[in-house]
Amino acid sequence: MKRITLTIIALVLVTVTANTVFAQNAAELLKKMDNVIYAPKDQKVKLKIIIYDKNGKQKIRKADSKQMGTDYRLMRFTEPASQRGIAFLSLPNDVMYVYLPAFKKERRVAGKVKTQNFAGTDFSYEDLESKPYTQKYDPISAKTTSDGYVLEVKPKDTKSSAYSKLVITLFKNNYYPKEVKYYDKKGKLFKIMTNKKIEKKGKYWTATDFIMQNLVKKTKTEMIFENITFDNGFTKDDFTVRKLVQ
Amino acid sequence: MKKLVILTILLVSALMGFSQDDDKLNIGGELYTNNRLRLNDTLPWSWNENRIDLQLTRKVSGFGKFNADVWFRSFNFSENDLINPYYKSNLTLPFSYEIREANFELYDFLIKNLDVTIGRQRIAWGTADNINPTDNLNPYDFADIFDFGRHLGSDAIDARYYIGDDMKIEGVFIPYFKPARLPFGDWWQAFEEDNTNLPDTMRITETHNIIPPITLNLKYNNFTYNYLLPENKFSENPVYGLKVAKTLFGFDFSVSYVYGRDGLPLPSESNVTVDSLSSSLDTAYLSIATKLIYPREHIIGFDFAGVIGNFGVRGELGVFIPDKEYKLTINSPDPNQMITLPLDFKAEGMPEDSVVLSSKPYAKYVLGVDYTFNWNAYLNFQYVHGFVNERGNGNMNDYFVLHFEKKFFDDKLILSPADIMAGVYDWTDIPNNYVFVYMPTLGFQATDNAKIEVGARIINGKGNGLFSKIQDKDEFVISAKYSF
Repeated sequence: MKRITLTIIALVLVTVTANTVFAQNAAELLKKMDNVIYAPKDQKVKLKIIIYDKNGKQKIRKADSKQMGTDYRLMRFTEPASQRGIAFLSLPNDVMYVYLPAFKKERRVAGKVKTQNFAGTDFSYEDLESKPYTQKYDPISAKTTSDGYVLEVKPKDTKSSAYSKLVITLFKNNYYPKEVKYYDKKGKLFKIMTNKKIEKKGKYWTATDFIMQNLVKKTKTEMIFENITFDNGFTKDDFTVRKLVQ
Repeated sequence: MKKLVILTILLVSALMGFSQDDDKLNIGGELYTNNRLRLNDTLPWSWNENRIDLQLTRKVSGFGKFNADVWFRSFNFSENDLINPYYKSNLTLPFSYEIREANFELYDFLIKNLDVTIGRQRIAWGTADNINPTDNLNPYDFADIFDFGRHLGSDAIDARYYIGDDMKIEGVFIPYFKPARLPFGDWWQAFEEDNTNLPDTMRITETHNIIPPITLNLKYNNFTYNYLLPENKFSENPVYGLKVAKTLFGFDFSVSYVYGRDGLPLPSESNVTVDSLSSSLDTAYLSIATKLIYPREHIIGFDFAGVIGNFGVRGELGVFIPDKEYKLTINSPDPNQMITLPLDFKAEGMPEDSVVLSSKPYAKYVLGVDYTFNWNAYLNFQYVHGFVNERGNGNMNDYFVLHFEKKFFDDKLILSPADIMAGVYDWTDIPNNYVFVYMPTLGFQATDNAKIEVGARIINGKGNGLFSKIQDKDEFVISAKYSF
């Protein structure tokens, strides 16, 4: 009996220690991934969004986007014509404005929108949020594969997130995510984001072509970054309501 | 037509020819058609609007932006000209054009953080949806009465000075006053003066009682209105506006002041004349010619917008202070001109002079909330105290405006089954003083740029409110829009 008890204690200790090690590895990997993704101070990009419906029919959106750090983003649609001029401004503390040219004024948008799809795409506002992963997710586990790492993370704030967990596959050479699997609240896989093209622009690695597949709706959205530039010297003044309406 | 061509050439040239290194000219806009069928026994067409909304913009790097918005519109039905029907094309195919906006914006004008817009422009103040008590710089465009928030452009200078990233001071100068545009077609009846209180009889008395008093039945032949714009002098015309906006505690606040004129006129003087008497001399046929003026007013505004939990919240208050008391003078008919006897007659029974707008301040306000559901649906609710046409202390009514929409099939189908406006004109007698407008719509987004919408407007009401006057005008609406 004594031996059995000792064995159980030993097993529990080993499991706990192993989990702690995995979690530590996972935390380190998550941090390394953030360091790669969020390395540039700011970026400016022309964005092309291709939305495929379940029959493969395409819709194209184009936008000009600029971003500073993880909290400041300004995006303005240039296509299609019906959405031309509509612009979004994201600021710290979840403050978000939308500018509607037809009404000639800006409007505050409630944070609830974050769990919704962005502009009819398969990306939610939460997916596009540029907060570091370490701020949004807690690591659960990590494992090494032949060509990379596989990380499992869960949202810190389960209430405001649409997901129960994410499984992220990272490239071994640069820690950039290759694929992210999103699981819904019931633990069922329902979206997969794949970075189709990862390039080194100057000193930064960046994805310039990525696809989000919705496995439930059988739709997908591809985002292509064109003319991307980093470290443009943006300041807070470039992310104001003034700039939104200009 | 020649003017139109010259104007178009000038606009395009100005936009295209500024300098070599400018950003390119963007040409966009909409093709739009809106047709309505009145829901009564004969199902007549009541609205036929076809327009091209041409929008031109050109950004000039580091300098500013040019904007122009021109409507080319064919509105209403063909009219008959029996003498020469084929040579008056504008009767067969009514056509008009309108420069809604034509302005240029200058960024960091003279000093850093000062943006100035000069030219015809829309200056939209206020945070509420469509009904904005603080949005008083541009006159209302009531052409389509259900498009509550539409305003005309004003020729203006709008200067905005930004302090830090969360404060703005804005000054507006509009040199010429322009009145609101009243509704097209028979929808103008919504704004019609109430003539139901006019007397049915008039008593003619002779000063020395030589002839006994005569009571005449009154019939009204004709009502004419003469809209008197303010005198063309600097003290009478301009509209001034000042606004300070600041973000505090995560909410956007602003206070504003406007010194302008109400774009909807007030009667100031009515001249009642006798056109004729019946052969039995017991009935007089009258005409009333009324002069209308646009009252001067000070408007102090306040608004806020923010987010509480997952709800967007907004509110707006406008306190209107007329610059003086406005009276309607009634000039009764002179019976001595009707009766050719060498005696002195007086007319009695005509309405007395009355105050049509007191100088006491009155307030209009709106409180609104909106919510986006996870299941692709959106809800917006507003409480409105004081509709756009209402004015005068004690004359504000309460309205509740609800908009709900749900999108289906990858946003291709947009159903708004519960677009409702309900109003109460007298809370002590609601069954006889209310309005209920039901406006369901079903939209089909055929492509990214093409949308077709069908809907109805069912108006039910009692009392003397704006919508009660048009409650017999239920309609079926079909519209289509293509953006380019």
